[in-house]
Amino acid sequence: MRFLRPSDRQSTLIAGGSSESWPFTVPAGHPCFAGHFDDGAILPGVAHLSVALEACALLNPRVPALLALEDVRFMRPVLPGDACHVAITPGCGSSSRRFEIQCHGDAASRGVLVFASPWTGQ
Amino acid sequence: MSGVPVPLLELLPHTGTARLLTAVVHCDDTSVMAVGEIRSDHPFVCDGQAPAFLAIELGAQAAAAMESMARRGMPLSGPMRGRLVRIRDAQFAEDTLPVNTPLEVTAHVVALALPLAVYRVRVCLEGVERATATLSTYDSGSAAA
Repeated sequence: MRFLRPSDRQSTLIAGGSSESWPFTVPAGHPCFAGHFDDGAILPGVAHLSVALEACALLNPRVPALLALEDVRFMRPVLPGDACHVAITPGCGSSSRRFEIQCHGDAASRGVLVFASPWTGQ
Repeated sequence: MSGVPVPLLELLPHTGTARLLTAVVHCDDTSVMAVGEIRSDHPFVCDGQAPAFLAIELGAQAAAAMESMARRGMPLSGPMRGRLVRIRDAQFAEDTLPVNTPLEVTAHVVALALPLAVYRVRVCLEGVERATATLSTYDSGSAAA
């Protein structure tokens, strides 16, 4: 399942590295919303994780296996058609990356992805 | 709370492929044991494998089923409309989960201060642990409310 377009990537210099981000919108009728829920669609929390992992895979096509998650918070529901973007920044170690998904400028979710081995590059 | 089987339709607001739980095996005041299965037509399944992070959804649905069972018979009871608000930690033994395969799902209450609750969840395949996590949920009321 793809949420991001590789060509939409934006890079921003930050202290200690760079933030790589992609805008995305999950339209009404997207399979992710099916059954979640019938009386008011909300993007499932696992879809936030999927978006973050897809962004990591765009940065590193040989991204290692996901080993763990740390302190992932879901602050705002994402609804069909919401304008969002996902940003990936370096984590505490070479095996981790932080993600944040913003929706209409507000943080919708953020957390740390821990991979099975260090990765090189961004 | 264990005893007469309760249709999952009455416990979870999820429908179709989004509903991963297939049965509640046992439920008491502090824990639930359930069975779940990720269908091959689930939107996150790719090349016949599901990503390991779907274990989070399995655990969250087990916790929601437990909350709904605890409220059965109360006014405006119905499927719990809770929100997953935090994954404090999660560990995955492998990168993927099998599809169309029964998975054992357990959730234990770690802390409860309604509307917030913290659960320790575990997903196993044939008794072998595939994922564990600590989840926080916020009970925003039943879908019937």
